[in-house]
Amino acid sequence: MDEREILGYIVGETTPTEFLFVVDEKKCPQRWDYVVVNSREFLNGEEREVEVLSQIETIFSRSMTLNPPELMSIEAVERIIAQNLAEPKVIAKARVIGFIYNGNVLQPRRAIFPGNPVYRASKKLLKDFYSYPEHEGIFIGYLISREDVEVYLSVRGFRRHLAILAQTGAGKSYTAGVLIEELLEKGATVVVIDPHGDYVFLSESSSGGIYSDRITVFRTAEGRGRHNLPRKPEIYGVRFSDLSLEEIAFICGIEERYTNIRRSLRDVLKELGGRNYTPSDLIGELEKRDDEGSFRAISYISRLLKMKVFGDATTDILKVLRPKHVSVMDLSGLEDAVADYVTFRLISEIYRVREEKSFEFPVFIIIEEAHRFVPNRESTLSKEIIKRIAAEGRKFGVFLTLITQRPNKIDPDVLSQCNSQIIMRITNPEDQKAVRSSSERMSENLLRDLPGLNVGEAVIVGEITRAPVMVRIRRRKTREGGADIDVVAELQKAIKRVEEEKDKIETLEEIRRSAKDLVEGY
Amino acid sequence: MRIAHISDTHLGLRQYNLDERENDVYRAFEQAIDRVIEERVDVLIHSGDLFDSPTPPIKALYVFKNTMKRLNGKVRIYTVLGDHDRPKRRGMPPHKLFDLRVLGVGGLEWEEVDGILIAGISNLRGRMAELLKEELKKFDQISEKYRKSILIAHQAIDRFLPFEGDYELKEDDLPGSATYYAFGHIHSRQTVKFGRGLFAYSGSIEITRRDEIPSWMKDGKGFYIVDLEGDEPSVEKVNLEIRPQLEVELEDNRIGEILNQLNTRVEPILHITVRGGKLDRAQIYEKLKELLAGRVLEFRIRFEFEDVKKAFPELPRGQISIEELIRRYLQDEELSKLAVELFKSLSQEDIDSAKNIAQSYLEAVLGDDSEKSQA
Repeated sequence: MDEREILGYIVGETTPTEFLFVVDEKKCPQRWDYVVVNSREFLNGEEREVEVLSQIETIFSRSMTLNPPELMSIEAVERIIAQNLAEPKVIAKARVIGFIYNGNVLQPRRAIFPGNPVYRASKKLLKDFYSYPEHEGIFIGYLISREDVEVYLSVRGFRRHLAILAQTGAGKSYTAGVLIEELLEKGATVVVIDPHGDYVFLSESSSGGIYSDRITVFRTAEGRGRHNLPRKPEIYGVRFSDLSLEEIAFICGIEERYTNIRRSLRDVLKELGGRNYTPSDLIGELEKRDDEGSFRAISYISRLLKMKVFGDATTDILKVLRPKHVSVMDLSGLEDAVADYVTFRLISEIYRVREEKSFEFPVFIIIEEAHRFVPNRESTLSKEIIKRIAAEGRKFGVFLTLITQRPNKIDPDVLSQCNSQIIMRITNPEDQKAVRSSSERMSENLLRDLPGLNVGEAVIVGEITRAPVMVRIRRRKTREGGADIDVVAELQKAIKRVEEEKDKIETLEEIRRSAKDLVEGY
Repeated sequence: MRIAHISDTHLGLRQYNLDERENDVYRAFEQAIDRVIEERVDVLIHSGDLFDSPTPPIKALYVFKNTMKRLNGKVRIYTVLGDHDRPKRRGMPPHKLFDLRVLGVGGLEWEEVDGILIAGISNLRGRMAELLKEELKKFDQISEKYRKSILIAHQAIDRFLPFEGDYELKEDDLPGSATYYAFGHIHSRQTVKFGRGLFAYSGSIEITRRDEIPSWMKDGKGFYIVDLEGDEPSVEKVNLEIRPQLEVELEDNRIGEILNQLNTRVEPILHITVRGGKLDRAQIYEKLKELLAGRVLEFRIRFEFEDVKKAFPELPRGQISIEELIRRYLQDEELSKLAVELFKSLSQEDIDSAKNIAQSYLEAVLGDDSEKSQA
């Protein structure tokens, strides 16, 4: 009656969280394969048969006769093999993921009995584990060890914030692009803080043409951006007279100990109060004064003249926030202080309108290069507001997704507030350590495997998934901006170009010869 | 510096195969050179098609030689080859006989005259236009060292030939720095501001095609005197007295009215369009011949049947029958039969039988009334 494929039998000591089983070599299950064992659990006072899903964590092979290794010699081994006495055994160690009861994943309380058969997990069971109802599920990719099983994440999990951690080139921005596509489809209001212009092509589909008209790119008046865009970006501007003393001082780098400068600045701002003044007006007022503080303030404030972020009007945040809409704030080409200020301004405004309930839908803020805005030790303008959202944003419906390639350079408090993590290839030990300390859900085994992940593969843990899962991220429908250039292809193109130019010159010379040839005497 | 910019003189052109027309062109050229002498120019620029062919009649060479003598060597002459006088197969162009300075055979060529750059390129067409564009790119760099510069070429530019599409250069292909662009090839004279200077087609000196008549009526025919002394070049038109050509429209029942229109000093050439319901071509032709005898040099008739729709018939879906299309277009059984027969023989390059068909048709209707015979 049981048609399931038996991979082996449980042996040795077992616990509710892990067990060993001898493997039928012909079936050769692999590391990270999903297996199922039957067990009995008490549920609502009733004992029931349950299917416990587990994942093979390690596989090892051992021979009793070819042991212990320090006593083995070539001759001895050759004799044992010749006598057919090697008898290697393959043992697998599986880690229990849990069983599904009423749509929830529960952990078994009972040990799994030795002697029980271990089956290959069915596609249906895996689907039950890694899918969500249509309005909740975000299609992220496929199981690494079972590429026919789709993996979904729960949009509910975003409430407790998300971090995407990976080293450069592992596919962070690509993954974030997939999330944005899915969030948009689910009706989300998404704001992307994009320091490198990696997301400016989101509105285009990967095959060319328009993907969605509900994606807008914003730039400051100054920002030239890294890419030329198909559609004209909208301008995000800030009225200079809306800035507080602290904000001005921060942007200009006037440290707190320069009390004289700050005092002069405070006096002048008071005088100007209420008017719509520009940085030049401010300098004009400072020039009128004859004290040392004002004089020194001028050289600091002059830096503002070059920043064209400041326009006549502050862009209404409700232009940026729209239901079922993605707004990409392209900060590429901006000075760090300006990018920081714009981010601070934008996020503070988002927080404000959510707190005041003047924008009625939750906002998903995706911050690329998050270590630039919430660094570990230094302080930035945007750091406090991001920390505040990390701590209490979920109450107001502001959800963070932080993306970074330097987990150890990011503020550890903020990182540990990110309840879910999408972790891709990471080789730097410092960064691995930061990942480990930020997530209690990562098993040592998963961590050990991070360097072994291929590009586009991720470990996902936390609230966004029922159980930790290893995923191959699905293909994007939108055009990428952040992808590395294909060096080989580009070099080939260069060679081709030079050859074409050579050909062209030869053709032109041939035309010239024949044109001259035709006319004798000239 | 004062420059005369002349172009498209087509010496040796013999319109309608008439001696008078060949001489008309010589007369216009002699007149032009007289005016050049009067105007005391320093430089004469000829922007191509000096002769109508690379092997012009001896008379064209003779007229040119004698006319040039009158300049007494006082005027420096620069020219480029046009599409008409450029050798079609390897050989010397007629210019060589007179040791004319021909610029830019196979590439841009230049000279300095009184601190002014004079650069030129001879005509390049078809696949050679690639070379033309590359060569023109050099101009801006060369002209940097000069306070004023002139570019001579014999080419069509898209802006001036918007409907024909038979051009080698787009406006963008032109260099931007020349003070004066002395161009030839387009026969209707015109000047426009371009870049930092002035772009000019000085036009042909005679009416070589019927479609030049409106432009001649409006702007005349002749050449330009260009003064480069000021900040911007100034251009003065010099008009030549040439044989008038008139376009006349007549109703078939009021042919006699044509006499009212003959008030020119010189016997004109008439391009007559006759409109009517049922036209008796032979009769009208005979009548006009009688009326115009001795009063005009030449006349050409075009008939327009009032009932012939001008619009090209809409293409039917599915199988297309050429015969049917021709019949629907011409809406005349007789004409359609001729057209279909000609089409059949000519599409097989059977020129002899096409000639026979045409011959017998003409014999049937009597008289040559086709403008096309000139082509």
